[in-house]
Amino acid sequence: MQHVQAQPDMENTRVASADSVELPVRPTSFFDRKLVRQVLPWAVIAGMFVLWELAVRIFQIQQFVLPAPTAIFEELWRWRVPILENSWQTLMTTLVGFAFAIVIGGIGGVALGSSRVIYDGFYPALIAFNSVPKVAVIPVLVIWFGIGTIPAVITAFLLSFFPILVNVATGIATVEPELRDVLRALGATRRQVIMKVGLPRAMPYFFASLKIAMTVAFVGSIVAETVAANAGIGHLMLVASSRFEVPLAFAGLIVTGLMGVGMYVICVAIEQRMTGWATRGSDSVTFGN
Amino acid sequence: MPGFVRLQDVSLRYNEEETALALHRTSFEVEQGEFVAVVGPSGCGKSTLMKVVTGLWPATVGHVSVASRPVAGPLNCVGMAFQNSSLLPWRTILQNVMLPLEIVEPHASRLRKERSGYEAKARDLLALVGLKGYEAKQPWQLSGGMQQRAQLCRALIHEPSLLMLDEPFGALDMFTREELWLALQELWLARRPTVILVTHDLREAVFLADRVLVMSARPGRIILDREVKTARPRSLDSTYQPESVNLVHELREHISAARASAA
Repeated sequence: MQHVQAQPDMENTRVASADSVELPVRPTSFFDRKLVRQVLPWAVIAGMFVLWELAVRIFQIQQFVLPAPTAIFEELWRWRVPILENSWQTLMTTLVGFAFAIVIGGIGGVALGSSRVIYDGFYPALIAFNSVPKVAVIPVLVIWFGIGTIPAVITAFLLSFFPILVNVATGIATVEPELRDVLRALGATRRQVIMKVGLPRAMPYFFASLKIAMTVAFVGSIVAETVAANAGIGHLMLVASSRFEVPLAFAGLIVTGLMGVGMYVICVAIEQRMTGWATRGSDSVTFGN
Repeated sequence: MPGFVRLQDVSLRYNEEETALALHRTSFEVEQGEFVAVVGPSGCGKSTLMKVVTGLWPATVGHVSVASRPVAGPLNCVGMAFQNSSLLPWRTILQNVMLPLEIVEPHASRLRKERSGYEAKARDLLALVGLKGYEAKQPWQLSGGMQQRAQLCRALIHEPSLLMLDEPFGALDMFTREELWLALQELWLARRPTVILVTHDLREAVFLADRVLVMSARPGRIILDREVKTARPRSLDSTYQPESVNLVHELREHISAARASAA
């Protein structure tokens, strides 16, 4: 727009200089800035701990009721070796159960979603099975397998496999009829329809279910450890609270939370790589929303 | 010589509980390489007709044959396109267009070895409908009209002898629709597949087809069979020539009469 005076026709001016017009910069709000958005969750967590600490000090809450965060972190550091060993045990237990859930839930979901007969026959039984409180099964598992890792693995599996199964089945069963017709009119076999359309389409459902299944798998293994195990973070928390070492029990909780978040983030990262097409490149996927 | 597609007294009932027929003693023939449009009041069973011809639904009574063979199950090697884009969102446009090649023989078994040749073919086809440069895009990055072009390419890539189009341009604005009529005419002239086009747009039927069939209200059957004699390649202006306009009016009258008798 250097030569405005040389171009008396306003209409022309606008067209000719369309490239060089400086767009007005819309002021971004403080909370829209990228850095702020990244720091915000950490600030919220830190703020919660500060409030907690203040509450404990101001109201002089007894340590065996609610320990202060400083006391918890002190214990966390003091018992770092046993905590690490036991969380490793819990992590492995959970992952083994989770892996079984993925394989069996995935295969079952494909079968359930692609066959009317299997769906009609098995779905009511599966619903009934899922309504049984899995925690109540742990004593039975102990009778069968004894105290140890196996009941925890099985409990993690039992809790996490159902969401995977249902989601995969839904993804496959809801393939658009037009898509199926296009493929069938090309002479595609049932297997081909599932491979080319059903499975890719079920992927977003599958990953959404992984995030739920991951967290409930942790719940399963830790609950089983508190009831029937000699190791694991659940066992550690039970021992700590029976000795009134409440800060250590809380330290166990924090480690559990960290493991859960860590696995969740890994699930989301894989999800984004695999099913980016489903989110259309929007920027709101960082935490899976 | 019997037609390439042949329906004889075909009736169809969706399921046993329903007493109403979707199709009632429908008969017609389509010659090889012919472009036939089917029009009719909405809900008259046009889409049902497509499913019966391709064998996706079996006829309750009557005889259907394609290429002199009775249709018993889903035919293979039919190209299809629908009103809603049925492109797979996880594939690029090029991968979408190449989907039939992964299924239809002999292409499926050759695809691995001769991928570059097939890819070049798909790119040429996309260029023909004006989608050059969009091969690597995801479907949602394209406008509705572009998605329909890609869908046409997918329906044609394996050079099907029969192409079934179910209101493929129904969801588009008029200008885009006219553009695609021209693109479809060009594709058809280049390869001459047998086409059955279901549409509710009479101008579209008259512009594209060699023959227009009018269906009655449900239960559907063919009540009128009109040839369109306009010479090819046709221009969009031809749809405003008296000959075409008169034909559109005639078809329109038959459809209104069919609607009135149904009501």
